[in-house]
This record gives sequence, structure tokens and C-alpha cells, in this order.
Amino acid sequence: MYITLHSSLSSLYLFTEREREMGGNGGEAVVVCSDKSMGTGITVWDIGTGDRLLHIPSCASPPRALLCLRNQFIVASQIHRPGSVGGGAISMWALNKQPLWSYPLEAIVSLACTKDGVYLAGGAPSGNAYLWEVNSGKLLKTWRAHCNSLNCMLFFDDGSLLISGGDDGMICVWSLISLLDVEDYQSFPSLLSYSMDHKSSITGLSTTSGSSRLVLVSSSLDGSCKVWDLGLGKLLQTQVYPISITALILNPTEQLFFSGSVDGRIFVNQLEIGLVDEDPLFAVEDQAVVLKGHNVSITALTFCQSGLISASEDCTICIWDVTTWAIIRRFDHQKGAVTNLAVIPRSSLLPGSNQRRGSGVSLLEKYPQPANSSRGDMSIALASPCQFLKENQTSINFQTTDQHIYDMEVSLKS
Amino acid sequence: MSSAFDHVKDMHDASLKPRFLHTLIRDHLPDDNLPSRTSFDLSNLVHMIKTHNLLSESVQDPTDQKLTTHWRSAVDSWVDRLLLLVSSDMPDKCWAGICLLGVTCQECSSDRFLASYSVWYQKLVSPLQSPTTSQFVKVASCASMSDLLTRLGGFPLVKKDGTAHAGKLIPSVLKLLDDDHSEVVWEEAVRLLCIFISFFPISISRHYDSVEDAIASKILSGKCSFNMLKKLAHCLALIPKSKGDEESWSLMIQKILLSINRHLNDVFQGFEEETKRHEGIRLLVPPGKDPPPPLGDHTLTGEASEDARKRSHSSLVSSVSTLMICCSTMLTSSYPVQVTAPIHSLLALIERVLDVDGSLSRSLRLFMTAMQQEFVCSELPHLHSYSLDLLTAIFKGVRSQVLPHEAHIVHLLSVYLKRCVLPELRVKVYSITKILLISTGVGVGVCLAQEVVNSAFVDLNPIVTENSSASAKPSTEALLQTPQPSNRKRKHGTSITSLEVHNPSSLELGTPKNNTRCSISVQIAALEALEALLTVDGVFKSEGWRSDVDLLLINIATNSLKGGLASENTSIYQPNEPTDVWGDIQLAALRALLASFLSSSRVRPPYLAQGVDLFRRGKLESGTKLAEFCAHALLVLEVLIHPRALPLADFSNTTSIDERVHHKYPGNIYSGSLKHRTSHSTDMQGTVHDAPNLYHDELYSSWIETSKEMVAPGNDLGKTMQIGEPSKIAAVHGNQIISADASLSKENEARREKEIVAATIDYVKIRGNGDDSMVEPLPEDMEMEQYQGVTNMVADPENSKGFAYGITNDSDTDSIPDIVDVGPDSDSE
Repeated sequence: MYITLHSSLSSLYLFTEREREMGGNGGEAVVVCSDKSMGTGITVWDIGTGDRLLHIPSCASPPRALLCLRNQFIVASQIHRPGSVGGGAISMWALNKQPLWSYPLEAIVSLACTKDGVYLAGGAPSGNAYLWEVNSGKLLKTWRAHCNSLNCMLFFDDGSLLISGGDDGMICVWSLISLLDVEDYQSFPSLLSYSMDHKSSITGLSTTSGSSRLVLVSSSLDGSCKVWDLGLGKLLQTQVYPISITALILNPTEQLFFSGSVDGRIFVNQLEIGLVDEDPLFAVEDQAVVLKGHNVSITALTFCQSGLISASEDCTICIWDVTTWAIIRRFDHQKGAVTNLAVIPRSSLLPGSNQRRGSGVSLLEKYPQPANSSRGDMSIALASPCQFLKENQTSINFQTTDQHIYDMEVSLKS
Repeated sequence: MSSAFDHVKDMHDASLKPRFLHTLIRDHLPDDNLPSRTSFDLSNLVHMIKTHNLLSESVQDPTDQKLTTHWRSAVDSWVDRLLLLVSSDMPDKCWAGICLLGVTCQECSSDRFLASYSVWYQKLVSPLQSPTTSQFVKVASCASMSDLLTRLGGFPLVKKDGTAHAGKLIPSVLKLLDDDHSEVVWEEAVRLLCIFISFFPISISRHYDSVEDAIASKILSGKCSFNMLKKLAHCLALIPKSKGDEESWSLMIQKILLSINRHLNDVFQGFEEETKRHEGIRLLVPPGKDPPPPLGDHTLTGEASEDARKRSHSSLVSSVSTLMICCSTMLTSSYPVQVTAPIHSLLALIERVLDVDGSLSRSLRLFMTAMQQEFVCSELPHLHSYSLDLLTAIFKGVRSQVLPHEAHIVHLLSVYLKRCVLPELRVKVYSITKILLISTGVGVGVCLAQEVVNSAFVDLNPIVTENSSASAKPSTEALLQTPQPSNRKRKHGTSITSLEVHNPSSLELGTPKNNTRCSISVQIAALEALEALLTVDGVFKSEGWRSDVDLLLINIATNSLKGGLASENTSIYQPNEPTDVWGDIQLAALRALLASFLSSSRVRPPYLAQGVDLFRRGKLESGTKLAEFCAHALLVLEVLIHPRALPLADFSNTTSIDERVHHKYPGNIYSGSLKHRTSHSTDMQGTVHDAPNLYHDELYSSWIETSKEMVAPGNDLGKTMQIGEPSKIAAVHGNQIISADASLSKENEARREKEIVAATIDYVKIRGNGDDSMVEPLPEDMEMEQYQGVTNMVADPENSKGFAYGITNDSDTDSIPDIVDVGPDSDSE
């Protein structure tokens, strides 16, 4: 019954990726920031060489409020931006360029974007959620999602579901189609399902990318991680720890999940979604691997090609080898506790890499637009021009005379 | 030229080429003076030139002066002869010369082309400008001109010159469109215009309005064949590209949509409500703004446009269809800058067309002749079809940005799925559903699943009903018959009853409509839609239909294979059905079956044994797509049947160094179940080991082997959107990986859960007066009470853990937790 069909392939993939990296093409960079003061800013390091590539001044974001959009923009919510009404500010940097500052109605404490970078969701301490279309900056929807602070947001892989986690431990699953249904075509409510099993603040959400099963992993300050099957509406696995969990990530092959704790330990857990007929409760004693590299609270976890990256309030960032669980690199962020992590391809820092697609970002609107006739019309980027010209050249390429001769001769003969 | 015994080395000898060319000139090229030789026709000549690259003058050894000069002189004389022919007074010789000059433009070396294109251009342009030229010469010179300009477009250095040449040509091309009465000429002229737009956009932008008018008036004239109209539509869609700014694109699509809506006002008069007629236009022209000039305005002035209004309905319909194609092209082809797509108006238009079904409102019955109605009814399928194409184009062009409108589209589709009868249209609706499901997966699945399943049941039903009519069984029973390996009758329990409970209506519907919907292509489309549904949404809220669909699919797969493999058994299909259609339905059935197996996460797929047997049999059909797919399916199913927990690396046959590696890292988490390895709970802090390179190399090579093996069976992987495709795993960095496993659970649990919903809904209460909305969870003890009170049927208290569904269709509306907009004014509190 227990299936791990991707394990072998996935690990091999990691190896080949590493080889590719050694060959020197590509490479990745890690983006970190802190929440203490604007002065700290964003630092970008090369993961492969350990060099500091870039420092962007003035940025301070709470945990889970920095992300990389379409590999082109760093989007970060700002909590210390002076002069913003209600304390809210979101900055977007086209890498290496001037940032774009947007001022939403409230401070935004969590951010999420869809895979294709078309939609951006933000959560406020009041429990309100915001949904923007990034191209046009349109505020498509704001709604009351939670009654406590909205700590954590995540789009499901296909971009049709939004999952939100609140300070009170509530997790909600929203259907974007119903949320954006302005003219009320469907009787489906937008809240597809919700759970209140966590007893304290949600600190991490992660989904598997499989399409026939919607598996969600959540972590909470109540010292547990839970694995849900959203489709069946069922709790598959509960992992209990002696301490609060502050960060969560699935490994790229979705076989393991990593939970970072308040004391700096990172627990490595097996994702047991193949087994449903066993007792789904796991205590931490069953843990085989605990990664110890930080002294204080883990704030963020993510994956890069080299392995797992962890950030902590002890001002360091560690990169772990995924097979030996050894630290292969450690960065010191002398400017203060790290709150956010993002991985970007190094190539996106090169000048000129931002103009790939015709689409950009716009200022995020503060208020939803009043309903009018053209509210639904949107800016779209139709496939890139240079690419098309080439295609066109090959497709047009000289059908004319030959076809003509053929047609003529056929008609002459007949 | 060469002596009689000057033999070449072999057929690849380059010195052969100039000799070939000389022979061709001498023996086969028409001569200016002599009557043309017909023995060796022109296409053979062209074929010869292209096969041997006779005009390329590309010498491998640049020091071979003799060959170079020899070849150059041969091509020189070739060109000289062609130019003579082009100037000939005999139309047929002139035509041959022009055609071959076009071929020369394609084939000659870059140096020669750059040196001579101006001369050739002049030669080709004169027949276009002279009024006396015969039609087929005009066509030929358009075609050759196209070749010349296409080649010219490939040289960035002469772009300016090319633009000047193209610009000079535009008036003559437009004149051809205007004056000439032959569609062949129009076609070539339009092609030339498209080449101008693609390669020399600046040349067009100076004549922007006149080009637009010329094309638009052709479209609206109602004098073109449909094939011609499609080409015109393509050209019209390209025109804004010559300017390349957002405004031109928006203006063009706005004009087109207005034109469509105005035409529809004429066509649909009496068939739709009066309010609809104005809505389309209102959406396009916001109040207070002036509408843009109508499409093709500059020529269709006064009585001409009045003329157009009076045109016959059929030409109106073909204009509308053409303009719809034009919209689709605009949405799906590239554009240099970001543009604003009027999605709202496009969807309104689509809905407007799909809403008209040819029925007359009672009040208008008196004003409408039966003939008018007959006409509209006969044309409606076309209009519906192009509207659906337009919808597909919206998905392709706008992609995930369509999300804010998806509710509208889902609504539109589910209504249309119920109403649509014609096979061609049903196929289109299914394919749109498929696109929608795959692009927006779960979200759409939740809304559309039941509708798709119901329709698919109706469409797929006939396969068995025809079969069963002989045995006089009720169709329901036949359809859901458990597949039987022998003739033995077996009892089938829950699934049948469940279907009867869930949607008896759909099956009753199916029987009378048998004849209209029994088209195999519809069945294939239905199977594909089901496959997509299973692929992206095998689980969410599927408890109502899942087991029925699984049963349906195994039955269809079994039946289709029965018919196809043993070709004498043709009882199910019409005997004159071509065999490749059989193959298609077999493939579609088996693909859907595989999706049903792989997406099953509630229980182990019940028909796995029969299914695997079908795949094995299908694999025997060597040389067919079916066999390829079956091989792939068996590979995929292997990991479902024999789940694997593989170690990270294969240590069994490694060298001693690798063995050390193995012992060094006992905590390798991939090598087995984590739970049983408590003894290894080691502290891994800060230990950096250098893994030997050997280790990597072997893994790499084994990975290469694995991936080769996996890619082999499924050649059409591009088309197969199968979940959990192992061959794709490596390529997509694990993003697509799906855990295809079977988990055991009780059959009816799902249905019970559904009924819990009504109760759980109450957990969240909304004080829903707009500005003061609070999501207020009830205290926990109350929550439990609710459970006990309403859900006596919950046998397992564990069920209360987990996600509660928020979806319900039949619970009290005031208890549904709904979303309240937090408007800008709501924060004032």
C-alpha cells in the first residue's frame, strides 16, 4: 500500500542538478531580509560561491511576507515604512531597479503569489485578505477571511485555491473562482472547507503538487504539524513536537517535510500520505533526524538546488545537504535576525533579464474598483514578440511560389 | 560544357551541380524563342533544383576556384535566361520566368540575392502595375514577390530598403484587392500584405487606414468564399501589429466587436430580448464616450453601407463568423506590448450567441415568417461553433488572468452542456471543458464536475444500450454491469443502486436521444473530458459520482476493445465506421481508464485486474498508438500495483569506496521508512563529508538509463496529460509528481460526510449586515453537540476530525458562511 514512486528519481534529480551546477551554468542566489528596521534591507548571496551579490536598502518584512514573483521581482510587505496610512506598504523590486511602493489599506503580514505570478494575495493583522492582479495592480477582492491576524497564505498549485492560516489556528480553503464571482453565477460558497484543529497560530502551510490528491501540511505554534487530505476532508497525519513549530517546508519531491522549531532545531519528517489505515499520530520520539545548526527560533525554510536552506533569528542562514544532512554553507547576516528567505536564479540579477515577457507589475490599488462595465477587462501579454517573429519566419518560409506552381499546373492540366 | 568522359566521383560530388544546372537550362528551361517544352514540367524542375541545391553556390572547399567559377557562371546564365523569360510577351513564358525567379529568390546564395534583389524586384513589380497583365501572371508575380520580400526580411541590414520597396508596392496590392474579381489574385494579395506586416511593419503603418478598409470591406462585402474569408480575417487580425502599440490593438478589437454586435442585431432580431441587443454595445462603448468609427468606415460611406445593411442574412452570418475568427486570431497571436483585452465584452458576445436557440418569443411570432426562422436555425450551428472557438481563444490568450471571469464561464458552459445537442458542438464544449479543467484544475472541478459527469453519462450511454437492446435489459443495468470475464451472471450491488439514487434522470435522458448523440467523436470528447476531470480533480467532492464513473469507464474500455481487437465482432459500432475512429475511441477509453486508476485515492481501484488485462491485450496490437499507450500504462500501473520504497542509491554492486560511503551515512533518510530507524537518531550538526565522485557518476548514468527506458513507450507524451507520468518526473523537477496510491476507506463514508456538511456549516456564523461582518466560531462544546445531534450516522468519531466542507447546495441559505466584501467604507467603523 505504501507508495514512493518518485523517491529514486527525485534524489537522482538532485544529483544531476548539482553536477550541472558544478559545470557552471546557472546557479542560484538566496534573498534574505529582516524585520527589525528598514535600514537592514535585503541581502542577496550566491549560493554556490557564498559571495554577496547585492544589497537592497530599506526593507523590513515580517515572516512569510517576502516572495519572488516570476523570478523577476522581489515583493515584500513593509511594516516600518514611514508615512504609510495604516502602516501598510508593499514594495516590489524589479531586480536591480528602483522599487515600486504600494500602500494598501492595512499593514500586510503575509503574502502569497500564484505560480505564474499573475495574482498576489496579502493578509492583514485584522484578518482581512486582499487579492490583487499584479499586471494591472487591480485589487480584485478584499474579504474578511479570519477574525484574527492572517499569518499565512498559500495558493494551491493550479492557482484556483487559496489557503489561509490565522493566528487562532484556523485554516481556510477558498475557491478563487467563487470569490471573484462578481455577478453571482454559482451557488457555491467561496469557503470550500476549513479546520480549527490547531490550537495556536499557524506558522507554515505547504501543499503537494499532485492533482488527484490535495494534500496540505500545516504547522503551528501549538507544537504540531498536521497533514490533511483536503479532498477527503480528512486528517492524515499529526506530528507532535515538544515545542512550538515556526516554519515548514516540503522537500521538492514531497516525500519529507521539515519543521523548524522555536529552539532552532529542524525536524525531518516523513510525509505519510500513503498510509491511512494506521494510527496517524506521530510523536516526536519517533523522529530519526533532527538538524541542529541554529540556536534560536527558525524563521524560514526553503529549498534550492543544493539542498535545504534555513534561516533563524540567530542571524545565520544554513544550507544543508539533503542526503548527509550536513551544513554545506553558512551565511552570517550580521545586520540582524533573518525573517524571510527566497531563492532566485542568479541569471535574473543580470541586466536585461527582466524584459523577457511584455508583462510587468503595476502599483497595487488601495481600493477595489467600483463595478463598471469594463472592470473585468485586463491587460494581457500575448506571447513574446521576438519569439513569434522567428516562428513566423519559419512558418511563412516560402510556401508561395511552389504552391502556386503546383496549383497552376494542376489547373492547366485539368 | 564538359567532355564526354569527365566523370564525377559519385552523386555527392559538388562539381556535378553546375553541370546539372547547365543541363536543366539547356534541356528543360523554356526558351524565349522556341515554343515551350512540355515534357519536363515546371514542378519537376523546381524539385530538381531544391533537391540538389543547384542554386546555392555553396562550395565546401573555398580554394576550389574552378568549381566556384564554373558554378557562378552556370547560375549567371540561369538568371539571365529567367530575366529574358519574364520580359517575354508570351504569357506562359512570362509566367514560367516569374515562378522560377521566385524559386531563385528562395534558393540562391545570400551574396547573389543581396546583389540582385533590386533588379528582380523591378522585374516582378511591372506585371503587377500593368493593367493588361493576365490574371495568372499577376498571381505568379505576387507569389514570387512574397518570396523575395520574405527572403529580404531575413536581412536586418537592408530592412530600410525593404521597407521602401514594400511601401511602394502597397497601393498596387490594394488596387488588386479592389479591382480584380478573381479570388486567386485576392488570396495572393492578402498574403503579400501579411508579409509586409510581419517583416516591414513600418511600410504598412503609413497606409494603415486604407489597408484596414480594404480588408474590412472585402470581409463585409459578402462576395468571398469562406476560405478566402478566413485568410482575410487572419490579415485583419495582423494589421495592428504594424503599429505595435496598445491603442491600435484595442481599437481594432473594439471595432470588430461592435461590428459583430451590430450585425447580430440584424440577424437575431426577434430571437432575443431587446435588452440584450444593447448590452453588447454598451459594454464596448462606455457611456459618455464616442464609439469608434465602424470597421471599414472609410469606404463604406453613405449608400454603400446602407447597401450592406440590406444584404442577405447569409452574408451577414458569414461576416460575423469571419470577424469572430479574427477576434480569436487577435487573442492567440503574439503582440509586442501588453494589451487590454475586452474580456467582458467578448464573454457577453459569446453568451449572447449561445443563448439564441432559434425559438421565438411569443409576442414576436406574428412578425416573423417561418422562412426567417428556418434561416436563422440553419445558420445557428456555425455561429455557436465560432463562439466556442472564441472562448477557446480566450483561454489560450489570457491564460490564468481569466480567473475573475471563470465563474461566468463555468456558468455558461454548464448551461450550454445541458442544452447542446449537435455532435460537432458537443465535441467543442467538451474540449473547452477539458482545457478549463486542466488549466484551473480543482477550482473548476468543484463547480463543473457534476455537470461533466452527467453529460458524459448521457453521451457514453449508447455504447451499451445498443448492445443491451438485444437482450432486452433495461439500459441502466447494462451500463453499470460489472465487467464479467465469462458468461456467468453476477450480482452487482451498491454501484447500481447508487447511480439510480443519484441521477436516474440522466440515464432516462440518454435513451431517447440515442440517435442524435451516438456519434463516436462525441464519445471520444466525453471520454477526454472525463479523463481531464479525473486527472485534476479525482477527489474533491467526488463521492457522488466517482464509483459510477469508474464502473462506466471499465465497461466502455472493455466494450471498445472487444469491438476493435476482434474485428469480426462489430455489433456495437456501425460496420462502415472507419477503423482509425475505432482506434481513437479505444485510446480515449483506455486513457480515461488509466486516469481513473491512478487518481483513485479512496480505495484500491476496484477494476484494476480487468483493467490491467485490457492494457496487456492492447499492448499486443503492435504498431498502433494503442499499443504504445498500453505499454506506457502498464509501466505506470506497475508502481501502483507494487508500490516501491526505493533507496537513494543502489549500493548492492558498488565498489568498496562506495560501501564505506554507505556506512558513513547511516542516517540516509531515503533508504527506508523513517519510523523504524530510531536507532540512527544522530546529531548531524556541522559534519561536512566529501562524497566521492564515483558515487555521482554511477547515479548519473543509471538515471540516464532509467529516463531513456521511461520515455520510450509513450511517444505521444506531449499529448498525454496523464497524471503521474514517470518519464516527466525528472524533467519537471518533481512539480508534477503525484502520489498515486490506493487508500482504504469505507464505501459510503463519503456520502455520510456530505450530510455532515449541513451540520458543520453552523460552526461559522456570520452576522452578515455588510459592514459589520465577523466570522465567529462557536465554542467547542457546542460544536460537538451539533455533531451528535445531526449526524447519528457517523459511525467513526474520528471523522469529526478534519476539514469540514463548506460546500452545500441544499442547506439553509442564511447559515452558509458567505463572504462579505470589505468595501472602502467599511473601515470607517
